[in-house]
Amino acid sequence: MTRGRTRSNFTILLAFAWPVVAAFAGCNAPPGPAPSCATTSDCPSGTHCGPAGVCSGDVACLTDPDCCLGETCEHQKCRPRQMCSPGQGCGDPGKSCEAGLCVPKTCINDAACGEGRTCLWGRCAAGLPCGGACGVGQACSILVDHCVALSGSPSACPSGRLRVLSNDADLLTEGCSTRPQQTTCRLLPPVVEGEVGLPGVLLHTGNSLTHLAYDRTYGDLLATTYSAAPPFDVISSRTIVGLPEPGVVLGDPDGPRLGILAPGPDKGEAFDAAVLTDGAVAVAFRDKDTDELRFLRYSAGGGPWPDHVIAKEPGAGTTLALALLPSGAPVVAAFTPARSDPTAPSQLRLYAAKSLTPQTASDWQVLQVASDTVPAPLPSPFRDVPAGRGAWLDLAVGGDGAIALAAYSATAGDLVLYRGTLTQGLTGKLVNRQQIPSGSSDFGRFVSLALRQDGLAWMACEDTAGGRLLLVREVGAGFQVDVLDDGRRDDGLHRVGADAALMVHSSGGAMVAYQDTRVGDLLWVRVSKAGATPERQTLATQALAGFSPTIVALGSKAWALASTTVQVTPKGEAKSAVRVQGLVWSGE
Amino acid sequence: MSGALQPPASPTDSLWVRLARRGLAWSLPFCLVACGGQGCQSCVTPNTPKVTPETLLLPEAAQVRLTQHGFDVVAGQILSILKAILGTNASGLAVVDVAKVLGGPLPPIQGGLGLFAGQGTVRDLVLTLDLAGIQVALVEDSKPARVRITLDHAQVGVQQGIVSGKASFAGLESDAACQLENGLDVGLPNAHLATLSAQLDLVLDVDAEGKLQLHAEVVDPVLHDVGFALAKNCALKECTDQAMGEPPCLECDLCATGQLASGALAGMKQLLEPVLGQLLQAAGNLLIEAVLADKLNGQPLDLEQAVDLKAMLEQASPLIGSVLGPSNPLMLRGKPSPAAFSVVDLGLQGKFDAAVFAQAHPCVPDAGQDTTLAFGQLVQGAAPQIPQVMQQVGSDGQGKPQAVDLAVVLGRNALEEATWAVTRSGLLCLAVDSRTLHSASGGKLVLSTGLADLVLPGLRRLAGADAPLRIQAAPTARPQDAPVVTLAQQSDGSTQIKATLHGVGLRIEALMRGRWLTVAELKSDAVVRLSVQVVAGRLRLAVEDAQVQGLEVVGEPTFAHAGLEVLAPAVAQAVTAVLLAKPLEFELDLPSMLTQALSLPLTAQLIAVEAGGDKQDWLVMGLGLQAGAQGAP
Repeated sequence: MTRGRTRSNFTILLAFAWPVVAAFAGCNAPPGPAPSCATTSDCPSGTHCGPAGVCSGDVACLTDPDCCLGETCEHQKCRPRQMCSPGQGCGDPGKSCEAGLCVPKTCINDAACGEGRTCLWGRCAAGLPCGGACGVGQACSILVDHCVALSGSPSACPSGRLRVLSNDADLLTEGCSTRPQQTTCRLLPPVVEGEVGLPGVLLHTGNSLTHLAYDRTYGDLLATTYSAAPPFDVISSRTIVGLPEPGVVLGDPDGPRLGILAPGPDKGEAFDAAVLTDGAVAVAFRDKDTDELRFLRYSAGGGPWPDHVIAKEPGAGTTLALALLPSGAPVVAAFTPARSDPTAPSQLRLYAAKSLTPQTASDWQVLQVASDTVPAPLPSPFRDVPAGRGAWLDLAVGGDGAIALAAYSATAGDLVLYRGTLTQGLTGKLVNRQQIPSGSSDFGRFVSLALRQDGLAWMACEDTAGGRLLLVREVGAGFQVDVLDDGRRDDGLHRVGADAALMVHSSGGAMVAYQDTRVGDLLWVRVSKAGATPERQTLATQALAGFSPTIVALGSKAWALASTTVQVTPKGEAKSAVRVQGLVWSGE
Repeated sequence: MSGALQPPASPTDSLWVRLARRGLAWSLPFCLVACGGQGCQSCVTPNTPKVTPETLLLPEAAQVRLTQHGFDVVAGQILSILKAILGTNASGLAVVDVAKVLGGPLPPIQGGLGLFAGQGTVRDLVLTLDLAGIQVALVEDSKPARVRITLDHAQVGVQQGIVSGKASFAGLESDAACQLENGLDVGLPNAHLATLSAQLDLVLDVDAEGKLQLHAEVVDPVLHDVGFALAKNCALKECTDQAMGEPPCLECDLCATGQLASGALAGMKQLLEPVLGQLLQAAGNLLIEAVLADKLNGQPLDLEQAVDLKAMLEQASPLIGSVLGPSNPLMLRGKPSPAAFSVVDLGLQGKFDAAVFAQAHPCVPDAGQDTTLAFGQLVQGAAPQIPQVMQQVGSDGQGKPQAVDLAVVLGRNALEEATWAVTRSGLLCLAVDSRTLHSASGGKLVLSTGLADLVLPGLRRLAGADAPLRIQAAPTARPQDAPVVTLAQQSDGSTQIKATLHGVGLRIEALMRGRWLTVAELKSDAVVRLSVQVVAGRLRLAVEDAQVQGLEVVGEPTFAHAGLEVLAPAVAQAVTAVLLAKPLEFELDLPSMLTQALSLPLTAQLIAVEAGGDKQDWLVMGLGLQAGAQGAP
């Protein structure tokens, strides 16, 4: 081993400066010229072969990699590793004393490694050893968690694999060992998914279900394919947008994010999707980094999936919804919140694709729906939500091309249903708050819209002021409002209605999945017909359940519901999980 | 005649009846505040079905007392009322049309005064009564309470009167009549017919069925002397029906003879004594009729009124109002206790069974049955003696002694029941968000998910670093969570009300993706110390301290390693300090209230509030009364 090749420039500088410093300091240098050396084995006992090819008693260092594998850097000098005895322990639950040295414990699963560690390649690791990558001509010592220079010139490992020393346990015990290094390429573990599913959308894509979800840890949009029948097994999972280019693969390239650990552009914080007639999925999403509303066609098994800009302005696509016109062409409702600048009012627009396969922004027709100038400062309940009409919205298109767009105003705290067509434009109808039982000063958040067979729009939304779940039914020129869940429970009031997901039944009834935000439960309520007594059921109670539920029909009486559960770990990490479950309801 | 004995046009209700009728005397402090300058009409409910369960009525939980000093102020007004009822002439004498008051002719005068054969009659009698010497006083130790109106040698004059009968004159028998005139001090301005001593008692009582019984009793009217004269008046019809050839008015010449029988005076006294007694009785009845214009006399007096406490607090502090949730109104119910009214220690005392109640709001879990709590069974000390003088604190903070005229005292058990009702009403379901706190504290109090992440590790990840937080209180009202209230008088003159609320739920919520997500739910006891003081006539309420004790996490915690037990008390105190940095001041529109309650030309001012009784378990509110209409100098 040529030790000098592993030294940093600082160490080399120290090494060269050492005789000078020592002379000026009047140190007792060894008498006579120091013996030259190639390796430490060429040096007398008690000395090391220094970077200048001279045997020396002290080697300067800053960190452990500046020293031999069997040494540590202490007080800027390389010293033999401190020996341990098996009875003493190592003061670190992830380490054990092996052959007189404290090294990561051997393991067979994560449970053996304690909190915050995983079992990787038979050893407990707090993260990727050596950060998952070493330079050319280097290999990773798992036991000391840093790269060491190799004496030979081994070939590079394939992408997603790391060259590791397989005999570093032996090398460690020998200080500056002359033993031959043995290496192997190890497959890096898959990148751990971040907080996925806030938001998420479930689609019925032919013989499978596709769940699109935003990963807010990395800023990606992830597509996961499930079998279309219970137990809804995961078939595959792909990140469809949000990866950095180029991306350094530090994980299993066949796993999530193609093994790329670094976050890329933040795409998908807001998105919506629908299944196109050819089975592909139309996806509209917000690119937070570039303030763009973008579009792509996704189909499982392909990729990459090129996306293009529909619109670009600050805040573009903060909320959005996507539906398909009778022609199959996508139409997107997108909201841009008002800014503090009074000349920048909020914008609610429709973007309708002129063809089934739009390629550029010019392939989209724009229809202005609403624009609000927002007073500043906003009243207290609305300070922390996007300002203007459209802060929450949903879109549906009837078989005759009639468009329905529901939009909540965070300024007025009410809900407007826009009706019309692309050619004639949209006209808004305000839901009169007086029609809400007991009234409400703020309602319409989390609005979910569905069109019935008779073309009338039903909307489920939260009564934010009252903490209730409302069903707003379009009746002629007006509306009827029912309270589907008033939140009254034995232990007091529960705030319900967040993330409402409405599905109308062909029999005339409707179902809504929504969240109880007091206890973090996923709830499901059904009404067999307008005005009927709601039947409520709790579907999930573990951790914080009930985020982003979406329902798709599997048949006339069978449904699939996807929702996200968030759990906070003791270390303060938020972990999420998407769950798909089956529902059965005849509509009666 | 300038006046006549008839019901006055303006209300002249007696003090206690009007208090009871208008606003429940025991609930005076609530009603004063709730009604404020808008008067108290909205507070009044008639005898309709009650919301407050009967079983919640606490016996003698509230008392109202009019001190001797206060009664003296009111007595002057009673005299004015009497004069208003009786009507007065230009000389300031009460003028009474006897026939109208009695509703028919006077009985005959036996003996006919010696002039008329057998008997005579008196008609068109209008008497005057000098009220200068009238006295109004409470009858000490009377139970039921008596207000005694005493006439002592009051001069009774005749303003008009005709004595008529059959007369034998010159061998002929004919109708004759004479004009009745004063016979005492004739020729002087105070010429009169007689002097009268009498007592009229207004008796205020409640019968065993709880019906109000107010009646007048006349005690022993005595005419000390009688002196009258008869004068010829040829205009009288009896004097104009002479027979053919007779001189005109011949038969009425007897009036001028002055030859009255020796028993004439006795006859007149015999006539006048019962008549004057009847007149006083009639005056008393009229007074009562005027008092009970809506015919409550003889009816059960059981009243209930709703008070919008939230509106009161909003008026006192818009900031506090902004954090209060919707709540049900507070219901105040009361009725006179059996034998409610008495005169004790030269003061008029009314005792009331009272209850405070609220329908359970959905935000209050485990409200339980309405009647499961029996605050009446709590130990309650004897009601305090009402201090004759209390220290009235001015705007300069200096106190000066002020005579107490009217006092309202509330027992601790009533305060505890009221606290329980406030809890049930939902008023304590507070919700205050960090933006409001930041604004209200002038930017000094910053609560955010980023900061709270220190004790709720992961909150920042969950909701973002700058998301606002909200603290929501959700008290329970289970029977075992009954509040405990204690009173104490403090050295600075203020009264401390310490309320211990058990089982108060606290929820910490973070705004996450547009929803208020509960990230921690706790349960604790809350101890709130309020300081109550009257300063410059305004009721000042300050929160001295608010502590949470016995914290426990409820349900499945989202944050397993949360350090909430460290955070919550500090946050509670910080929030309290911001929200209640300034004392709440309630303007009690006492003149308006009194006008509504008493219709007396009185003004009133709040003097002081203090804890009283041997066990310091009564809250005493003292008021001063002054004669004079509102706004008068």
